Amino acid sequence: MTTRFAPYDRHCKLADMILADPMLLGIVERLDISLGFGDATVEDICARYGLSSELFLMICNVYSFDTYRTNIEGLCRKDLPYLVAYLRASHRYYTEVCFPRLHEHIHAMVALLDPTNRGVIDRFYDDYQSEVDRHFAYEEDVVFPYIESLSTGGSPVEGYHIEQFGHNHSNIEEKLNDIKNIVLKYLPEGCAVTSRHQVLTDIFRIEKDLDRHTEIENLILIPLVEKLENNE
Amino acid sequence: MNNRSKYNVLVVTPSEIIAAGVGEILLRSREFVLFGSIPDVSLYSESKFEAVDVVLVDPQVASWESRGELRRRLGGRGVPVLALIVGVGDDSLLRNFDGVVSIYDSADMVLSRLSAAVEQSAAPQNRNEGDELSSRERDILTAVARGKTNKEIADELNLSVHTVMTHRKNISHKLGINSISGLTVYAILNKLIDVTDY
Repeated sequence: MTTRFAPYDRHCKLADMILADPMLLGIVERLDISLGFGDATVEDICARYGLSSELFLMICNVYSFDTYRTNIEGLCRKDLPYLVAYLRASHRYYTEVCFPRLHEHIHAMVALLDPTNRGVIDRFYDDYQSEVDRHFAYEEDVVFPYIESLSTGGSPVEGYHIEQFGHNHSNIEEKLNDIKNIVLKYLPEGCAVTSRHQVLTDIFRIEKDLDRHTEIENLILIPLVEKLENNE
Repeated sequence: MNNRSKYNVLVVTPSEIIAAGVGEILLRSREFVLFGSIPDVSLYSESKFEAVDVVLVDPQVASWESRGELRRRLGGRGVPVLALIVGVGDDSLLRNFDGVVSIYDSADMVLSRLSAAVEQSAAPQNRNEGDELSSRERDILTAVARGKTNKEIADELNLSVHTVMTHRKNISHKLGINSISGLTVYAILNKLIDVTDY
């Protein structure tokens, strides 16, 4: 639970923000911000790492406050590369840290089940993993290059429009929710108990993080790109 | 907020300005998403709008005499229907709806009225339904897990496609599992189907 009720500002100390909302640790991790920053404020940290402090605050606020309303008026073309870099870092964080950890725990959880049940769950997870990979690959190979070309003032890609992104934005959260309910409610006895709990803990975290990641795409990325598209 | 996917909102209004305005407000919401808009109630059919969770309708799309019917017509599946009033509303007619939104409401107000209507419509339904699958639902789940399409299931069990879809929605609601592959895993774990069918 977050103890603050007001959005963060550039004078907030990053350490205080993380203590108030541990979810922010994931943001620090994916941006390669080293811990041990003492009492540095958001402004200090962003200057040190070459980040847009306005954007960094907006991302943290989306994570920590359910009722936070993004206002992209203050953002412009030069913020786009930072935003795309953040989203790419986010994808790496999911694919290199979160999902491998979940996979490992799922593997351990079903290790003692009979081969049929084990096979079914392994296969379901593997299929899910490929779906997630495809989703990220689409954004990395199609959407982000388009946005990057837009941000450098390049001519928009013929026939592509960010509106399509919304349509292609398939919901990878749905299957994660299915796995969660299956693990929580329907797995047969004989699972490794500790791993089962770890799987659920992983899923709760990934779910919340993915939800916020999607919010950042929907509430910051898409409106900002639309704004730039319309200015062309 | 839980992780449920967003509620789909259908707007029924002849005004493109109002439809776009509602869409704009919904963009700010984490709970709702604009499913689409249609200019007239005659374009509405349950099968086409199966995925809609809540309807906002400008009562002016219907003739004065049939306005009271809108709620029944659009809310057949238990979907909440809210009146979207543009001018001064006739209060006696508005009682037929699950809520009223005025175009002069603030964005926050619009969203909170939608939330209230959705919560209200979901609550009694959850209380009355058991969580156990009925035998019909188990039949349908088994067929889904075997890879049958809605049409095939409907033909086999002598049901309409629409009824099969309603059963599937209820199954997913009870189990908390939405994807076909997730339902298949459930069916195998519970020995409803053999793994060789998979």
